[in-house]
Amino acid sequence: MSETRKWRIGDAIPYLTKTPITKTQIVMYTGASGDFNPIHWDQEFAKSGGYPGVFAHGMISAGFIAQCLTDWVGVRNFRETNLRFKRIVWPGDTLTCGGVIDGVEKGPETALLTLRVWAKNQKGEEVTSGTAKVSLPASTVE
Amino acid sequence: MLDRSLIGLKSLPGVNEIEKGAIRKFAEALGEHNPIYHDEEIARALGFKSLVAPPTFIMTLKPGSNVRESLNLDYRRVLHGEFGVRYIRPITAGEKITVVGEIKSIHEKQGASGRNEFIEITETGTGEDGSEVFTKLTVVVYRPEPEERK
Repeated sequence: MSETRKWRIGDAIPYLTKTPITKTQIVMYTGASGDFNPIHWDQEFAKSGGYPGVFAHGMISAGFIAQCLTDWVGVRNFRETNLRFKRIVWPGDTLTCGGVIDGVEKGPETALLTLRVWAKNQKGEEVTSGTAKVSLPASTVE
Repeated sequence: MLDRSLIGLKSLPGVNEIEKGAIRKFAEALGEHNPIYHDEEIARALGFKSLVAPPTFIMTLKPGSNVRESLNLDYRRVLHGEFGVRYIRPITAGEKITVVGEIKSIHEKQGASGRNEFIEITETGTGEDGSEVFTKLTVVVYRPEPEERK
């Protein structure tokens, strides 16, 4: 009899590596999100703000973390997240997202899992991190 | 210093029609290729009414008035500090979501590059039946002037 392994505290969730962030992607996100702060698309404006150049919206990394979670549990089971933007994401950066289960509240049908989640750049520095909650069928959780 | 009398300022309710094109463009910008964000037939086959909005799509939804504008921020000094959201259910195309925003707090904290001000803005999204769909928290960091940063 084969037995499927159940999720338990301490488990790492499947990680997600995205393609490198390009200036084009930042401009696409500016248009699609409606966040038109010129610091993200106007090089001169970014420099006048004391930055070496334009940089990605923090919400792009949040979107990647959300994708990492929904790729794993599905969009209906993503309940909550609280994220801090700790480092700037520059054009050319490659982000990898992941998380670790650090809490399980098991009900009769569903289990609510609390996770520590993060997005790291290619240097391994956490750019965005925080917590998330997802639900899964109780039968799939230890 | 930002005007503390704006704490508690609430926006007008804003009605947002969730459009398929807007969902597709948002998903594309994030490199999200999950078909539930792009292909309505697949979304329907999986039990959704129409295309599904990716979770962070809620940041494109607007309250009826912009409470942030009343703060008169210099955008060179603005950084997004935190983002929090609680989802009741996914949002799908064709819905109308009403959003109300509120300035919850403004406070100062010493940071590595000088004194920052933190602005907490909450938003609540409500469906057409009046039930809550999401609550969102945004923390905006207002940094010192570039020439005053340490």
